[in-house]
Amino acid sequence: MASRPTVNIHAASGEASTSLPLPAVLTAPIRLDVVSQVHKSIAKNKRQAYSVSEKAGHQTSAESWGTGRAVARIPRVGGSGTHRAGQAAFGNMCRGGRMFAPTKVWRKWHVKVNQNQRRFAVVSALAASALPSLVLARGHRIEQIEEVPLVIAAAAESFTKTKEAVALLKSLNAYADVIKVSNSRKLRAGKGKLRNRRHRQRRGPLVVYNEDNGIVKAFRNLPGVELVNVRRLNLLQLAPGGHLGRFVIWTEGAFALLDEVFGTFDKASTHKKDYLLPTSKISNPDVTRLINSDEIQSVVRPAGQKLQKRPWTQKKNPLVNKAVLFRLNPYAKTIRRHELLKQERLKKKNAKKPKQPTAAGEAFTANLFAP
Amino acid sequence: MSTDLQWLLIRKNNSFIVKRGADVGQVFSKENGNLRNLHSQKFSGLANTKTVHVTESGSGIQIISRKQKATPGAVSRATSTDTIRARTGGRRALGIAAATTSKKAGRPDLRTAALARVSALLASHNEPRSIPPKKKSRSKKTAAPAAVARKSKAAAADDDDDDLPDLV
Repeated sequence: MASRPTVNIHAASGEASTSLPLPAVLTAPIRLDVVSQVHKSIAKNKRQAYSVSEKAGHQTSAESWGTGRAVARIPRVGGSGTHRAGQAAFGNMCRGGRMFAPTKVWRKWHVKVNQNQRRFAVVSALAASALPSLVLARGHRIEQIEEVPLVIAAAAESFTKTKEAVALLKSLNAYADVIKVSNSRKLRAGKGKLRNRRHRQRRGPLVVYNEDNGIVKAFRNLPGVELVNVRRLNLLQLAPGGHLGRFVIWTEGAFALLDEVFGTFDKASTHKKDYLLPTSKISNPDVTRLINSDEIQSVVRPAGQKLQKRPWTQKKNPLVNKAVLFRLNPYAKTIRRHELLKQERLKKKNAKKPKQPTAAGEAFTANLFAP
Repeated sequence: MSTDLQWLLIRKNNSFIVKRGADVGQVFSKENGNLRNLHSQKFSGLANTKTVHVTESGSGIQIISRKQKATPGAVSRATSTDTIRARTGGRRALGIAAATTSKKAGRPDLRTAALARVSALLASHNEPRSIPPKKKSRSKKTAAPAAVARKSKAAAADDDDDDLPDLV
């Protein structure tokens, strides 16, 4: 590309004032498989250990009765005077027994992901957030906003009132996404209601800032809106559920810092040691453009005459239709010819001879019995 | 980012996909700009640089096309709207739709789909045709009283035709 594309900076009133060049990280390759796999692993890192009690199901002195009592050899609770006496115990098939393979707190709860993979996933998710189609496909209501990525002026970082934040989002036509979240709020199904996860709702825009001069407090009460420092970008926020294309609103400072935080394709990042952005395997993945390029069109043979295949014609039965049969099996013609000749020959051979008179002719008898 | 790659990213799952019809071999999609509402690369309103969207608005039928020279990041700025006013007749409306789709939006392959959508919208403007009430079944049991009534009515009509000369 000849010139680096630019992105407009929108003032609080909504209109674009100045512009910034597009950071290199937003043109990085997007790998859905890397993102989903990394997300699956790092989403596990917030889990807390749980297990059943170590003693569960083993708090009796049951012993097997052995053979000869016409009952199964499972351990049985001893004694008498209670219903429990004589009941089977311990086994996972027993009432009041332990579960099969009791869960342990020392399960492997956390999954290590290589640093480069984690960075690749974040970079991919960021690049996906800069494509309108992917942001739309994730379900964000961004039809009315001017452009993606959406950058707001630095003044927004010193907002302290939610009222200001709402006014800004409305002037950017981005408030529809917040309304979507607010309408989606539902009671959670199941026990999560009792565990401080009472409601579930969609995710709204992610506001990325450089310096918090009040912006966090201004935005954080809006439903679905999350805030993050540009140096602390996190895959769980950039691709919730492993789905690419979070709607990201950048402040001017954060956007300008992206090239420093993630580096470019040929300049290492200043925040991550020796980190260069991953490069695409092919620079131009546009198949149509490749086919129609001069380089390819100059070496391919010219297009031949168009061969019309007629798939809609009726299928002919070669057992009935001789022309089709001869096309399929040229020898059939010879067989047929021989057959006809043979018939001809037989016909000639078996031709009816003129009938021999059995009785004597009239002239003969007249002559014979001539008086 | 080429649209070929974008299609690969949204092909498997996105928020617009409707897989309920998958068991009959059809996956649908409900995004704007998908004229047939089919989940396919050709009709996708997301994975194409040139798209056409046909919709109804208060002022008439709107044909919203993506500007051909728009930057890839532009969203609302990239669209241009043509409105077919409510009073426009069918022939003119379809002419506008065909020209906009193939010339302005540069998608001649979507012409028939756009026309189908416009004519469906036009048809929806018409007053619903009044359907005559269904005739009762002609089985003897149910028809008998009706037939008697009809006969008596016919007889009454016969008496009333005063302005016709009597044939007898």
